[in-house]
Amino acid sequence: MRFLLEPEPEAPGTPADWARAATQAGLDGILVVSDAERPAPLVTAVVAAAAEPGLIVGAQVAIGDRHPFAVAEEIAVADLATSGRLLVVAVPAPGAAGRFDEALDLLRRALTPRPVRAVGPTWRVPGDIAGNDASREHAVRVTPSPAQIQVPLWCAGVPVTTAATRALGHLAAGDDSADAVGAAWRAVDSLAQIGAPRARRLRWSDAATVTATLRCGRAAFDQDWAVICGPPACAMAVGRAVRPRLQLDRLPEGLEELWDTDPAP
Amino acid sequence: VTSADGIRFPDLGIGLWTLQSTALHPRQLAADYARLPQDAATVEALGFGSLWFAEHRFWYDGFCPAPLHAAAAVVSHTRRLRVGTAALLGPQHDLRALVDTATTLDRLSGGRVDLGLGLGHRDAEFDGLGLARRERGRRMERLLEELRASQAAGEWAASGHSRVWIAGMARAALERAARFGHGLLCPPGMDIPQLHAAVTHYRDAGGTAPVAMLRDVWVAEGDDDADRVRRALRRHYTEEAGAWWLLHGRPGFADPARLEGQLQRALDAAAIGPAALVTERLAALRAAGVGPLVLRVVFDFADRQAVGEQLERLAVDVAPDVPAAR
Repeated sequence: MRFLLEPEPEAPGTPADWARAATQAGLDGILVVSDAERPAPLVTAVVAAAAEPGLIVGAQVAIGDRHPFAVAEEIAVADLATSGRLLVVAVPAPGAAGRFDEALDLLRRALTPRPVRAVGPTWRVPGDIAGNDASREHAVRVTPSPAQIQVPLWCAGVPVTTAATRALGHLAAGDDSADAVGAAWRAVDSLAQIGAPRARRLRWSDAATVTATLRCGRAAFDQDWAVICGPPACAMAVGRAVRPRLQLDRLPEGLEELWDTDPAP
Repeated sequence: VTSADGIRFPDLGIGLWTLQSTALHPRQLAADYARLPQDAATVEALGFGSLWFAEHRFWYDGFCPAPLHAAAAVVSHTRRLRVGTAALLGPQHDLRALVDTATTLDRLSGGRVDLGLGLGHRDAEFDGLGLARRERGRRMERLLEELRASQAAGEWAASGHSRVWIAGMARAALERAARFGHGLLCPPGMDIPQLHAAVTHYRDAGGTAPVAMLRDVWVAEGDDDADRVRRALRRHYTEEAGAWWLLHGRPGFADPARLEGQLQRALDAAAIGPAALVTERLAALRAAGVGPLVLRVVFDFADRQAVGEQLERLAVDVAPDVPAAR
């Protein structure tokens, strides 16, 4: 299982501090979300990435409320500016849930090197607007390309099927039961599931509780990513007490007892 | 030349990081983006006050369409260097999302953002985003109102250190800058009489903020070097103006005579030559009322080594002798 630290709202420190905390704890990355102080998560992600060269930087990006090509441009530049370490979690923008699927599909197309021509309920590409006559394209190519061949794109706040049928990752909410998430994944065609990350967001409490919850997720829906939402200071406890317990299917008897009784000789 | 105690030339900026890979000068864009923090640290260490990006979209060379996101890569590798846009095409953005982006960068940089806003001129850019080019003036007005409301609410530029500049030389741009209390960012091709006229109109319209200017510069090693750079700059603008600029309603390539006029004006305005000539030309701009100067030495035809040499020459042989902004 792989681990992302999501600093809780109004978490202390700067994005660089969060990146350092996750790195020092051996976690895979951080996930930043919009808050009142920093309403543009892709900007926050780029600043955080600059502090630590090896960290995955995730940004939760609301879609559906503005042109998906504008979102795609920002993702491409943020991916280049982070040397290909960007992960995007798409969520429905407030009031735009009905446009999520259309926005998601246009966003995915915009992140490929193929020029796009599309007519949907909300967006028409190109616009073919009267007056824009001096230089008009038949199809629109978003440039530049991202650094990665394919920027990892997960969905949250929507059903598993929305993500899995597109071979995208899904980030379940902490209050979604593991059994319910498992049932949703089993309902999806098995071919569509291949390679799609199965993540769940958990609120940090203590190492034992989080470990047990993640083991439950692994058993119920093959959970392979965990997003731990909490203060940056919880990163080290995740790195020392949770992450080691979730890497293998089983651990040799006695190893966990050693970790518990003799954590730092 | 390394500055140990901060910014020596606060009103001299360096640009433009457009992050292009053109047909004549291909570049690996991922490598250029990866070097941004190092580039910015160099510009800061040499004592310059700011580093500037630009924006265009849907173009074969990958021209950066999200300059504030690129600028985010440099703010944690610098302490006092400001980051600017010359220009960000405000009307092509979702207005609320742009205010959020600017606010986030303002806060994470400690108030070091120079948000230069232009209208945008290329129909294909508006049309690709489903926007009507004819609405660009109205959208710019709404954006400036959003920024003003955001600042009043303690969001954008709450510290008072980040600034908005209005890019352009049309009367509407000058009057808009004056009306909103923003600085004026003049394009590189203006000559001194045009600059005088623009500054006068801006001041007459009530504009009290500084007037800034973007200028193409090159400190040449000799006549041959100067001629080489003039030819390269001409080729650079031939592609850009020929493909993009509307000259009396037609792209430049469709009107060779007008295109030639544009190219000549761009070359006449550029300060290319020995350090003394570049210094003299910049001093003339200062005398004409220009405060912050954005010196453009980053072009598609200039490789990393050449840009590095230009930065050193500007810092050592030019900047100390340019009169300070009034």
